[in-house]
Amino acid sequence: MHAYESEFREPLINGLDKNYTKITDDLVRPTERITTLWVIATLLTGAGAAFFVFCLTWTVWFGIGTWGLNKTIGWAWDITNFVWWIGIGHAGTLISAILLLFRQRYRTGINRAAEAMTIFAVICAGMFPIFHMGRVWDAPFIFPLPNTRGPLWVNFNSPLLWDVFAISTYFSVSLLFWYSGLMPDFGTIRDRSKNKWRKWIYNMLAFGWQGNAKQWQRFESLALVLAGLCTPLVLSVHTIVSFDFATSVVSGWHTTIFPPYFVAGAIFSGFAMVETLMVITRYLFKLEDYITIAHIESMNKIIVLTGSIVGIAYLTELFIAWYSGYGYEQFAFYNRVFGKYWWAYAWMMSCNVITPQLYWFKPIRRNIYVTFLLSIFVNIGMWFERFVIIVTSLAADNLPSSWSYFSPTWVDIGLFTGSISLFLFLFLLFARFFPTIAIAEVKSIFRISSEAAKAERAKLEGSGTGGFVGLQAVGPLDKDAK
Amino acid sequence: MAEKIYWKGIEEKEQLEGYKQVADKEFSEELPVLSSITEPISTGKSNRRDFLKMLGFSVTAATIAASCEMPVRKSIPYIWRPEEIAPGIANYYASTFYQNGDYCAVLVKTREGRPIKIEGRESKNARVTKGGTSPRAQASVLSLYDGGRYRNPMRGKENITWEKADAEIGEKLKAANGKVVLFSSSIISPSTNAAIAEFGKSLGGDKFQHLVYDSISYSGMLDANDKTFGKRLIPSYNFAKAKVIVSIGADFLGTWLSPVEFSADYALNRRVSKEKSDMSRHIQIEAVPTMTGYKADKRVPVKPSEELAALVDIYNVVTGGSAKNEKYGKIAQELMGAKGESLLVVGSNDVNAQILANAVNNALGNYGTTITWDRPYNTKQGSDKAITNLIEGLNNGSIKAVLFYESNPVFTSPVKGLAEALKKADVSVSFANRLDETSAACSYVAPDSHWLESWNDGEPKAGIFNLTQPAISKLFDTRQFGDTMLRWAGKEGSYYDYIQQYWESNIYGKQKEYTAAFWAFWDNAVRDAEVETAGADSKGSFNGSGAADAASALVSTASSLGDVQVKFYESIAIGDGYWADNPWLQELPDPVSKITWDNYIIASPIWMNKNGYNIDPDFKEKRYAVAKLTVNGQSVELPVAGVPGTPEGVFGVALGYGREAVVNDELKNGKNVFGFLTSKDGGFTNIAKATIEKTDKTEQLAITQTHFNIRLKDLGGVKTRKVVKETILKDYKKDPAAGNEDRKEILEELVTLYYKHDYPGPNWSMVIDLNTCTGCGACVVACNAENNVPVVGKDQVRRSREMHWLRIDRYYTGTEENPDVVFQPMLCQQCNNAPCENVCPVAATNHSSEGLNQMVYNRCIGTRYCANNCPYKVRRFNWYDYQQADSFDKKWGTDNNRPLSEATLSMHEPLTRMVLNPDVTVRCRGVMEKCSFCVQRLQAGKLEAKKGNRVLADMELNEDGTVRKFGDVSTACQTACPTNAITFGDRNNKESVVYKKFNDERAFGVIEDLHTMPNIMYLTQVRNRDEEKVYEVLDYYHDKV
Repeated sequence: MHAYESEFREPLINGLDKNYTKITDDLVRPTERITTLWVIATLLTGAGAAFFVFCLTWTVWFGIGTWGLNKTIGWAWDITNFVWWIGIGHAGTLISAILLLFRQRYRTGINRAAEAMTIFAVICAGMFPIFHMGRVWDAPFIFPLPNTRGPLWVNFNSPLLWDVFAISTYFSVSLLFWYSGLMPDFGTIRDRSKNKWRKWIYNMLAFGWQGNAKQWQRFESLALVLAGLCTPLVLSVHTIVSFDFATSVVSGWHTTIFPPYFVAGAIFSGFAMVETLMVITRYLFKLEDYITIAHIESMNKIIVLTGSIVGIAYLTELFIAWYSGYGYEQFAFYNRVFGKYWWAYAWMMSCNVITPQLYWFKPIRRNIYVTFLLSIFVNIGMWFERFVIIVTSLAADNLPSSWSYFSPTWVDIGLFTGSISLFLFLFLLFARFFPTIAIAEVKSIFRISSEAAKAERAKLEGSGTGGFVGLQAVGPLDKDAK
Repeated sequence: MAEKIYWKGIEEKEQLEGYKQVADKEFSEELPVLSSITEPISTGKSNRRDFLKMLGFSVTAATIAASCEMPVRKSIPYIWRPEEIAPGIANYYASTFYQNGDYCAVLVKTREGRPIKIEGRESKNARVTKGGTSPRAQASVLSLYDGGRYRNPMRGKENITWEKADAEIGEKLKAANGKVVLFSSSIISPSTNAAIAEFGKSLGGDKFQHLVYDSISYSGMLDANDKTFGKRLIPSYNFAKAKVIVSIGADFLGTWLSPVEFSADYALNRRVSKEKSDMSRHIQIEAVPTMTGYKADKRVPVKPSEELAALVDIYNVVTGGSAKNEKYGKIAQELMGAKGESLLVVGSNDVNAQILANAVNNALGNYGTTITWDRPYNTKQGSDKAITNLIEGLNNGSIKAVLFYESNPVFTSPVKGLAEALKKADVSVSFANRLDETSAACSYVAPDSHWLESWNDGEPKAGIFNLTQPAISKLFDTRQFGDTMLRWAGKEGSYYDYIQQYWESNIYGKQKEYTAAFWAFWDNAVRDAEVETAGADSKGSFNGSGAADAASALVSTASSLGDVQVKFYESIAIGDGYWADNPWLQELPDPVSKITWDNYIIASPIWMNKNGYNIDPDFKEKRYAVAKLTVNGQSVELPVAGVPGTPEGVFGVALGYGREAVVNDELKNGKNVFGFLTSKDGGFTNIAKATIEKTDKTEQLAITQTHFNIRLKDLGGVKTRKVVKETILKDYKKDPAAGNEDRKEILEELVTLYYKHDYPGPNWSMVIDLNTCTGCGACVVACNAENNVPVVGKDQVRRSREMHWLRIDRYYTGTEENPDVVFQPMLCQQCNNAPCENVCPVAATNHSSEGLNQMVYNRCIGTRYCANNCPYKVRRFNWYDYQQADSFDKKWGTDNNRPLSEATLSMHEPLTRMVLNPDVTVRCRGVMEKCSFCVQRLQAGKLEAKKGNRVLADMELNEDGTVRKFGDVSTACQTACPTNAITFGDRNNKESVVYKKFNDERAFGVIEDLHTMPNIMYLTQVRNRDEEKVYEVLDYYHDKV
């Protein structure tokens, strides 16, 4: 790894007082004390998560009829939420895997939280396809298990079955990736613990991590292998989710552009959700030095890129609908833009295509408040994108006699807001008990990309030492290192 | 070198017998396992270990067996099996459905002694209805199991025995110091009439009086015939012979006079083919749109007053005068162009209108050809004066006792005050078989049995005698009306014997078919349920002296009606309200408005737009603005629903809704408007001058289809979508593929790389003729009954969750003032390339080797993906436990049915569940369901053919295209159809009817360009009119985007 970085490149760890000890202190601190704000937030989101469970119970107890669906619209908020959450769950893997392979140092500040977010988002996502089943008690039918029902097997032609495989694979690999990355940091927490039980628990969590060279070497290899495994998954999972729609005959769903369009949208929404969370986390846990404006700017660049891809996809869809000369398709898109659900389309367009374009301007890209606001916009826009695709296409499909309209019931709303609560609740628990920023990884860039290191280096350069000082040990900073 | 052999001892070396036995075995002793199985423990050879093993095994096995919960099945085997009943095999009994003017020749399907389905009788034994059925006849089987049925005689609210009832009522009737009146709707049963006469005679002198009152009145027509022909009868109308049909406000395909008969006859001349490309011309002049009007070649929407004016104009032209309005003059010319082969029918109950109608038909020479006197109807005999006479009589004390049979005048009377007047009577008795307003107001209820439990006869048209036979023994302690009459008349013997005696002395001699002994004749009559004898005197000389006066009376009536007019009409489902407690009929969408569970004010969408009504009630809530309609100082508030084709300033409201005395609140929907019928010339007229004003209220209506869609001429209108196709007769004659020209191209484009399904046996297919489908909905109700389709109630229908496997889609084209309409029955198209099949993750829906798209309920996990991917939207999801198929609620001791409506819950009653077809699975919550092409009937039909060791018999047609006999297999919708619009059979049989129709030039598949390759084809609608083109583009109405 390059040990030298230009001074003109913005540091990724701010603060001239930083050293390895300080980093450990700063990053482990949130796990060692409770703040009132955290307690309040956890209780609130916990209540929301409980309501989510209540709504699920209500659904199973009384039936899917408690949702706003009807004979024409068989999927609405359920699958919208599913695709939305799965999309959000894409940032973690992308940051961990692809950015690792591309050696993007800025990922170290955000990868842990992003991966955690992925896990929680996939948990939320998974709830919807499971509980949207009319007979959830028969859900095991969906697994290709040997059975006593004769040669009764699952239907391998069905994209829903592909989903089962895609999502369970994605979840397992993401979980593995996240957890293996956590082990050295659990070791660090353990080593700092004074309480016997805390020590014991974190030791268990760390799988007895010792931090010797062999372990580090294996750790790095595992990270690389998992990154290699994850990279195709980033592309495949949302591709397969998009097949749910692309392989159907419903106009507005049956579109070959869906796989790349969905993947771009997923990364788009994933980064937006990472931003939303990180902006809050860095404030709550005083991590501004580690999640810097530079991190945010980098992410905003990805957002403007993926947002533009999504925008082009929207326009391409419209163009192709016109160009195809196919009446059903033309109507589907006309209806999407000007029909009963025009407002959903307007939300989608403005939040996904128009507002992210503001990030072409550097001051905006680096403005923390605008970023927070726009990241929420993107998440709203991406939710509407899925809603628009699913509901407007179904609401007015081939036979006009059956056209209908969807409006949510309190159970629909409860499940959606409840899943957000569940997500935040899990994230808050994570931030309290696990290191939100990968300590070991941040330390690995400390001597290259930190403000302190750069200042030290500048001092050395100024003193006429010259040359690749970065290669040498930067004496004073190593003083406290363990 | 030879191998050395070592041996341990001499036994081994010599291979002695004892050694061999031991050496081959692993254990030297006999193992005890076999012995413990082969020899009982009691022989003592088993040891203690075996005993313990067996004990252990049996205890474990018993524990496992006992702990597995086994459902308790309450089935009781026959100890003495009735001769006719084989469990699992259906029996069919020929019978006759009749209720308040509705007549239908039917077969009753029973399973293990329970009637579960009504079918049309074979056409040779159904001379009037020709094998067709109506929604009401189909649904009547549900009323047998109605929770509101009276279970025993009652005095007020107190249950009493028949002995007590007979004694008390008999005494009071004798003691009554005034007239005893039997108040009934038209009775077609000659034996019942005879029994009534016996009863009347028994009271002595002229104490007894029988008043006949039809709540849906034809009194004007009867009186007009009395005046012009001297016969207070309604002649036979023969639509089959009419080349030009003009109907002025008569919904003869839906509700008017004898709709099942007329539908069949009408269809005869609407069924076109290459061989017979002529078709009748149908002109409808009407105010409130009806399904008949929607089927017309030319529909003239006018105000109710203008209906009368049009009639006067036609009369004038036909009788040599001139028309005020050339529009009607032209129509008259068309009639005159087909003298003797034309028909004018008028729906009005105004005597003068009917006199003019008679005059026109007479001038056209239609009497003797399209209208004949040989077989007049007995189904309508009532007089509107009956109700006023009754109320007056009760009030002035001349009537002291009143008996109500098949009549609910407390609800249906246009004149108020009957309930109060009844209190003045010494005794009032209702024979109603279930709760209604009149029986609730009577001092006694002597419940009649349901027609499916009764013996009866009937003469719907003169000389056509029918028998009703019981298909089940009485469910409750009821007694049929005929028996009661005989008992009260002091006669010995049962009503059944009485009918037989009547037939022996009055009918046996008149018929010519059976010359053997009476018993042979009777057996045949019961089997066929129909006997034909000579009709009535066919002569009828027209006396037109009153016509001119009638015409001027009509003109003055018309001019008195003002600008805003209302017409009260009979709903095809609910009738006069008798059927309001039948959930199947409540949930049947009205053919015209597609609204269920309610009545409402039909209005013109244009008028609504101008007057600030939202013609586009939001899709979500389906909220309609409520208006206050005032007629003669009385007013009613009802939601306003726009129906294209309604003229501005015309409003329509259905009768029969707003029942009060019904078992649950959901059946009370709507408002009763019988009180709005106005009295005129001794009769009641259903048109009136009205005022209407908007209120601030809104009301939700459960509409299943909305016509308020986006107008997208260039973007996927109906024509682009290839949903319905139509042409005009002239073009059809030139090219049988007219209107369907694009099919060739579509078929050419149907190229696939995938394998096609192989159907070694039959390939079930259906063809639906859009030209003969009238949209009546008999098929929908038949499907409900056959396939246990759940009732979901008003709220669920409003949420677009109706469960009907078969629906009738209605499409408009043209202008909102006067649109053309296409009715299209829509059911699972059983696609050969089914989009639903490949998306199911658990393969719960798959393709059969006979071309069926099958649904495996117990495999379904309810992802609804199949329904999303179905382009026809015919899949239905069980959002709740609509059928109470789950046992969760019982098991958990709680009620998870809470979201279900009262109507749905009423269908869960054990009594009502007796109507379920045991051959069809009751679907539980969370599974998808859809049309199966009545697979249970297909299997039964195949078995029938197999037993006979023959090939499957196809349906047989008569020369004229009507069905002579259905084959081994038929679907419920097919047999229910009064116009034989549905053809079904095996397409692999190249000789089959369905094969020929499937390959007809008119045949097209709905949205076939999606490459679904459906097994259902539709035949183009052909309209008999001159315009070169139907319309440039068929599309939807909507003024807003």
